[in-house]
Amino acid sequence: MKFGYSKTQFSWKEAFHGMGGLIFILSILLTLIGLLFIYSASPKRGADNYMNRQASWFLVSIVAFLITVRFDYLILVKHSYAIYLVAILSLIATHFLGVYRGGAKSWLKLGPMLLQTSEIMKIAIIFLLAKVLSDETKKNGGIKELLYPVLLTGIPMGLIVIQPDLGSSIIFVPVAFAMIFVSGIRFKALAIVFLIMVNLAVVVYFYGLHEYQKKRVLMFMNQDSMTREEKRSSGYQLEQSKIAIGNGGLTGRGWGKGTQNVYGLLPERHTDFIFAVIGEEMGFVGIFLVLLLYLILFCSMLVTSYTTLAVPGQLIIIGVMALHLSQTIVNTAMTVGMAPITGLPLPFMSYGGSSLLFNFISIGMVVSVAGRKIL
Amino acid sequence: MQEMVKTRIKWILAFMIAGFPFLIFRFFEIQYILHEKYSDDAVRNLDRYKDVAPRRGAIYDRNGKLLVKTSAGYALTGNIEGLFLQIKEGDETREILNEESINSLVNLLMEHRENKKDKESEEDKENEKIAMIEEISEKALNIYRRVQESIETTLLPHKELAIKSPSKYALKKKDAKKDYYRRKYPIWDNISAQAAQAFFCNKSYFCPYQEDKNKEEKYKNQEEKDKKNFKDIYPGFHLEFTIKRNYLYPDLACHLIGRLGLVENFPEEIRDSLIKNKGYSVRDMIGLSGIERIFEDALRGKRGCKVQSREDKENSLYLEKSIDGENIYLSIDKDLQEFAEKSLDQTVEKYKSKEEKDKGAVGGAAVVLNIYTGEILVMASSPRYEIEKYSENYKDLKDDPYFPLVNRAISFYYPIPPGSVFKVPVAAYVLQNGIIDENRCFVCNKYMYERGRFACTHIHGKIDLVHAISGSCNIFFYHLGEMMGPERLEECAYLFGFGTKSGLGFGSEESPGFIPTPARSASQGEHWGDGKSRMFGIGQLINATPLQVARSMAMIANIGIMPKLCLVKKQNQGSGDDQILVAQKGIAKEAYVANEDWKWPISQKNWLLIKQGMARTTEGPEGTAKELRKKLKGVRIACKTGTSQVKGKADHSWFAGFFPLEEPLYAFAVLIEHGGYGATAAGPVAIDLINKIMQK
Ligand SMILES: [Zn+2]
Repeated sequence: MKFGYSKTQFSWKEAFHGMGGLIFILSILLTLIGLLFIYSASPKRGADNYMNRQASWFLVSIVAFLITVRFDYLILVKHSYAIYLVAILSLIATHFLGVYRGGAKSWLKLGPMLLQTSEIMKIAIIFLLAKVLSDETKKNGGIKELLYPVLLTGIPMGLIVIQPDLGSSIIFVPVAFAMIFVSGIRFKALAIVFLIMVNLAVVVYFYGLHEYQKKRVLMFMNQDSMTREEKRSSGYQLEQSKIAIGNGGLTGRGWGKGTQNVYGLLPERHTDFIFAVIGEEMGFVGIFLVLLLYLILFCSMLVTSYTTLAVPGQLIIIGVMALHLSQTIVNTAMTVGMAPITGLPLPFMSYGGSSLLFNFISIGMVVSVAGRKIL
Repeated sequence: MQEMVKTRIKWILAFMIAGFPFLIFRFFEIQYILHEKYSDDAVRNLDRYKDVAPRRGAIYDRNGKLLVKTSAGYALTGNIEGLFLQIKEGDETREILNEESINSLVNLLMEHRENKKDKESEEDKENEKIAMIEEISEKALNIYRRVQESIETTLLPHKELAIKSPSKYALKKKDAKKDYYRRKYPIWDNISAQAAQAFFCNKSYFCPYQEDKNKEEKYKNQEEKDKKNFKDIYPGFHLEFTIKRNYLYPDLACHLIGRLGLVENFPEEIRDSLIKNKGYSVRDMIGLSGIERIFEDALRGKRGCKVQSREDKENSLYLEKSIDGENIYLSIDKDLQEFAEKSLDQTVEKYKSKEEKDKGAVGGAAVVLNIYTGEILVMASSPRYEIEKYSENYKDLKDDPYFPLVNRAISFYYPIPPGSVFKVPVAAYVLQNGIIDENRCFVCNKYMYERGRFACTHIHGKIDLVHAISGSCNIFFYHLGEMMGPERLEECAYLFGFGTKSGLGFGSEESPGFIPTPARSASQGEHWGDGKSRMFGIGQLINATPLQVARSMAMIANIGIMPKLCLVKKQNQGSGDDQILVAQKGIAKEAYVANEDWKWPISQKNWLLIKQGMARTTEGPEGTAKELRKKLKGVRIACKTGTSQVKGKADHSWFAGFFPLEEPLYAFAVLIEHGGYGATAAGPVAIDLINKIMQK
């Protein structure tokens, strides 16, 4: 198939008729549930709580979504090198002009707004990989053609690791991996890629990780052999999170009534550990329903991708899906000790304006793909 | 390709749906299978363990008068960031006092004063308010000055940057400013509980007292209060809960009582060991000097621990009750101590040289002790400082030319010889060892040789021991020194407690003094000749503290028995007062047993001879202190003057002895550094003190 669609036409009807509408509604539903528990986890009850701030970001995100949907994704794919370059430059600019938040220099100040530049990079890499991987003129499914996409992904990863924001950097791996996988690489080559990735992870662990990050990984690897002191320091968050979730039981303690949440025993409860708050207050039933919503969201993205006619569009949806899926898995698994604590937010639910904004922009991309017909 | 993509999408879908149960099962495991364990943990998490700090023991004088106590309260601190407004004028920024903030604070403090009078005129109120505003403004400006100085000091190592890279220097400066501008400094102590509560409610967004309905009614206008809640009306001020040491007499016995410091201010190693081995916490106070350090273990008490539920804060369970520190009853008599201190201050002031600072008197000390029990009744030193303001004034105190930080009763800034006071032990030694008897005479013609440095103050003619003591004849004691030689002089000094510390536990605060020996001379490249023995014989070369001199006098008075010294009141004879017994029991007991009684019996005959000589100091016509006799009010004393020479400066003035003459009970020593002649500077201080003691 040649890369030659000259024009597409967008219709709202088309966009929301099938899966697109479902994806949008699920995203909003998850955000609203998030808001509910952000309020429950707010330390201050009053006019200026986290929920109100997040709610105003939500409105901004909806507007951003509506704008993104109107963009012709194929034109964006066409100019994806330019977008990629802009994103790389903004990462470099962050390195010099950035603002520290939570120990990492990963924010750029734009007027009154703080922008996490790695979020822009996530969008940019999805467009660029969609372009590169759908170019059939260079395709044979072999290992050699992988070098270029891996290189393109590696550069921004390196820039983000030095911020240092390991979590945001690592998330590029599943995105690239899923897109490469879907674009039709042979399984043999895939195995080699997998081996390279594992080796890379080992190298990153020994040279790229800070002491506290190493501790987290080690702690994750042997949770039972921890001494009490270790539990209090790096294992403390996980321990408290497990207690909160276990305390919830089948049906939960009730909204605003989880003791781990209310008395502030659970650290980062409105951001990274919002899922533990849900676990404590809504119980296994709540957890199951929320995870089911995510599962439906991801399945409908896959179905949308399946039915899309243009390969770049398919790849964009796969990229976005892989991005959200991996973050969801890492974040939820982290709360029960199945993944190391990385500081990755739960998509749509964790408190954080910039993250929510880009979640909806990416959903906008998916709906945009779903709502466009190639003329 | 499209087909391939579709196949691969199916793969992903399959993997995802297959993986979903694993995640779900993990949650099921924790929330259902392990639910009981985790909900137990959650309940246990509701317990909050809190340290309960003990109250540090109070310090009383021997008559039960309170000197130092501990009180809990609130205090206000301030930082520059809020206390000063930054006003931009072109390129320059001026910093001016935030008068509005101070005004609102003073309004609040006025409203909740503790000693509010019932009827107070508006004018009085206004005046008091203005005075308060002035005081706080003054303090704020002082803090501002101190902060600027501190910033300058921090920037000193980066001075060269200022020329090399001004922008880097500006950055450094900005950082230093940010740091120091946020530090809190004490502004106002003793905030009443009411004022503290009102301050807290006005200042913070969330007021824990709001739920309390009764307290709520105090605020007349609820709306106004709500409005206040959203704006900090006291920027720069902060409320702190404090445990404060109150000194009822700001500078009374300041050296003896000593200072407290925070554990966190110790160097890291010492701090860690204190926390690990002795159970201190970082914010604990610990005695740094004097009584506070010596009796630290008794005074500090024991920390307790309580468990409080987060759900029900009213209900708490004490795992371990805190034990308040023991109260200490000092052997010191507050009235006498105060009297001695005032008397010293006045005398030092009187003999200060108006023209040349370093030529006149610089300070003084007085010690009075019970010769039988060793209890120290007075340990005064001048000049002094206010303990509470120690850190505030540290710089000035350290650089003060009169060294107010030195406890002159047990230490000295520069070596001080006891002078003629030392002649008494020498006399006792030569009599007891039969080196001479009471009939042996020497001839004093003012000079030992034709001319030279071995001179006397008078021409005493043919003189015996008794008269040599009262008349303080140098020639007589030059001869004795020469006859004794260095070994026996050294033995004599040691026998009477010179060259050794008091054993009271003052540690580095106390000086052991110095006893000269041929070996020590040789180590300084000096040959020991008869000249040195002679000087030693009249109390030169040797260095001693007033406490050592008083102790040697006590030994003489007690016919050769030196009592173990103590700072704590000994068993109250027959009174059975429980409070006083506290000091004897437990840890305090170990500390006050300073050293064993020291015996070197003096025969009755020799004792009477020495006593006679010392009595004649005031009573005989040749007595060096005969002018002082008329000042004594109905008491006879045994004493000795001392005038120890210092090159190029005024002599040190000593006056020491014991009283009453007939049945000695107390020994004393008074020193006025560079005060001049013994009987004129130190003498009157001692006589006044003796009169005061005898009147009691
Ligand atoms: Zn003479």
